Amino acid sequence: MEYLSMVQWSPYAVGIGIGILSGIAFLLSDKPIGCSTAFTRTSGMIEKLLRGGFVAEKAYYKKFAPSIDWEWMLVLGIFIGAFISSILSGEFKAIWVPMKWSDTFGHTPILRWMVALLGGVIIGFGSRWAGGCTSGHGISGTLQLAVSSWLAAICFFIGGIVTAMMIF
Amino acid sequence: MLKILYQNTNLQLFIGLLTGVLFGFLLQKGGVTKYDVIIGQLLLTDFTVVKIMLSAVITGML
Repeated sequence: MEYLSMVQWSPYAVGIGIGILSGIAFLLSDKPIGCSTAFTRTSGMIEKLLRGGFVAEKAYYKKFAPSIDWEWMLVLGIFIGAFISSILSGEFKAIWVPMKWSDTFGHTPILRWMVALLGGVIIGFGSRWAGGCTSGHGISGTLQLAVSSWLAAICFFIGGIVTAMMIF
Repeated sequence: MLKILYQNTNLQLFIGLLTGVLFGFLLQKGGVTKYDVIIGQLLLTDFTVVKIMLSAVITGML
């Protein structure tokens, strides 16, 4: 039981766990572990709520129906799981501005929020464009040896490294 | 048998939730929910993210 309250596990153990979990998900649900489509569906649900049912007629929402599905529940579960894990290890805390950020840009939360919001928009746009995010392409796609996913994952890192090197 | 399992929508939603809880738990325990770990990877000072992703990919491939 001590394992459950440890702050950090070996990255290799976690990786093997995720690999096995992905295999189980493929077997029991025939689904890859991925997150970004759930956000598309949520945006569809919000738009439907605000603008009425005709929204569901859009070609894009015909392909990705704005409703709760397996992947949506997966994303909900990720929040719950991470929350349980951080509570068990006593690590849970709400921070507006991370240390690394405040060292370079100061403590003002507004700037941090604006950049985080902009980053979120770009991630959302990019992951829909590429048809997957870090989990969908980076893990579920690469372990099926999909060429597009390897390309996407390598480019995630190139883009991320270049940006991080530039701003810090 | 698996076909019947795939058609049971409510059960599938539950499996999705359960998978998510385990996935979130593992991500947090791996440390990749932390800002500093992610930035450390991108600045090439902390290779936790790559270690987790590659061991997941290698395990999943088998």
